[in-house]
Amino acid sequence: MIRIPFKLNQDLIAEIRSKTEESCGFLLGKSFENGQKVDSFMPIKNSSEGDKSKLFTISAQDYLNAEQYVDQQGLILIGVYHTHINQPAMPSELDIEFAFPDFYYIIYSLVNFAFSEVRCWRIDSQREFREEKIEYSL
Amino acid sequence: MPKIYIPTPLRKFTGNLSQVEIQGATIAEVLNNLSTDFPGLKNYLFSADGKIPSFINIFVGEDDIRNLNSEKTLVEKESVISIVPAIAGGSVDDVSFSKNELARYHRHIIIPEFGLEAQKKLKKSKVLVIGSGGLGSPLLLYLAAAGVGHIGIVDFDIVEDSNLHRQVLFGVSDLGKPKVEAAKERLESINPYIQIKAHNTQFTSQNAMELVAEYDVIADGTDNFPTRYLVNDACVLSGKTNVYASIFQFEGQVTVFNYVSKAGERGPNYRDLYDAPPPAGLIPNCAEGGVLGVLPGIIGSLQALEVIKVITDVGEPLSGKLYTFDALSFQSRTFAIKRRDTNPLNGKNPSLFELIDYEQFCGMKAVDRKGKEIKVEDFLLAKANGEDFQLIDVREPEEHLEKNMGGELIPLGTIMDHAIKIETDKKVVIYCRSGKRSSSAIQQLEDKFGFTNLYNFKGGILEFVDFENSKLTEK
Repeated sequence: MIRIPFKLNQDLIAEIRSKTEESCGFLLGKSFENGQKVDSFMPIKNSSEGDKSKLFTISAQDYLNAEQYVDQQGLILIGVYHTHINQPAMPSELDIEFAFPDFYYIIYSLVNFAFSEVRCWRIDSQREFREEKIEYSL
Repeated sequence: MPKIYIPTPLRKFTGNLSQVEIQGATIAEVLNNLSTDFPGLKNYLFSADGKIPSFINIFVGEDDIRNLNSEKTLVEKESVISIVPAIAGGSVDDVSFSKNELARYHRHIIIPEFGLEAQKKLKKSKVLVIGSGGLGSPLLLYLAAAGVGHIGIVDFDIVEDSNLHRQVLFGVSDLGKPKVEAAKERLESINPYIQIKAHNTQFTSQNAMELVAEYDVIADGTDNFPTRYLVNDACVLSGKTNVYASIFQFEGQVTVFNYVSKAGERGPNYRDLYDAPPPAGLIPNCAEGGVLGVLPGIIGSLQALEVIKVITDVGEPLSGKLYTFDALSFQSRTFAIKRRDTNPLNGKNPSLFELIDYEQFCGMKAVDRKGKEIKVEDFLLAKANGEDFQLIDVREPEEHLEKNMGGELIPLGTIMDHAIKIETDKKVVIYCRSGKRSSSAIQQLEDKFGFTNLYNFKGGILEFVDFENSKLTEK
């Protein structure tokens, strides 16, 4: 289960809607007894060398910078968010291929850049995505 | 010893160490030693096939090993190796669904063996349905409802009242409309997320290859032998799967022709099942032999099921098997069909490389052409109004003497020899006892001489006498 403050989720949606291509970033926060709690998000430049309306990549340097930041702040990297433009919020084959175990992958589906749906996924030991419940907090 | 940087998600396996020192001369050696020292890391560093998984990037200094020598990249004592999660992904699928579509197809998607994958295949697929009658009705309704993304319909007919007892695609408000147009309207009202293309034409040797080329799967819902051979041959010559169904009175058949299995084996086609058409006139069509209305509903639905299975690769299609259903006894049987060496399309010595004249091959017409008709009331009205027309009686002389309406006598058997007597520049009304012989006369004259001005007197002399009697009773 992943818990996101309602307001933070809205800010995140505003952020991804302001982009003109697939956007991505990290979810930072802390663990709690039932799962992970998102405290903030960190938008990251889409470094994909392919079609950025369909693909995203976070560069190794951006990853390392983010890791350094969370270390300093005493937070953890909970996972990654990214958008699917005019596609459902379900993991694509590419998402599965690159899914890092334990990370929570939140996918926001935008239809014509209007928010459509959000779903959260985590890869299991069989390399299959399982849906994780998203809980909104105040 | 080379130093290895461990990313935070993996530190739980290294006792929270962010950096460890491991022996090794190549990346492969270092990673192997690392997973020996910290067994929890093994699943992260090696995929099932022993390779470094896509979700991990490994750097020696600043360089990604994929740009160096991959696992064989040499490392030195002072090298710093970094393991970094590769964060990437995206919505690469070329088929997309809106939220509403996902909601619409939800009950498909939640079937584990079906899922979003099969639904995507449906949306991507292009199916040509030939004939939008009894079989075509349930077939089209279910294909459209299931979300087949592109559906083509070929038919040249118009909706008639006598269709409605089985052609559930249409309603009373469609009477007189071309079937393909009425069908398109109805299907679009069921599923606005798909494309329907109406081909308001007869499926013929001239247009078949072109029509079939536009689609992935063909569904034959026709009612006559010439067109079945034509559909079959066009499919085999184009390498397309033909999902076939037919009905007669109380019996239905379904099979899948020319299907290529996952193992790459091509299944039999119509010519393996029936190498030659039945003698002309032996087997009547629905218009002549009748059909129980619900039967095409059952068989056309089975046909829709097979189309969906062929598209989605879910289950085993009825390839090499002929399914038959007897509505009276409720018996269904499945017969094996095998490919034959003598098949002229793809047997040992193929001899058919293009489409032929199928009406000639079968010795029958593909289509019962309905000529123009005139009703007795309209006939009498035209006469009263002084309209100029020629009236011809094609009965025998003795019938003509007994009772006639003033037509010129040219018995059916002699009409082709006396065609010269028939006017070409005004309306010609032809009658006989019941309308049958006059209809035959009209067809022959149209076929041979290209007449376009011939009208069949509906119901013949019998109808005329009835009408006269009813007028008498009214008085």
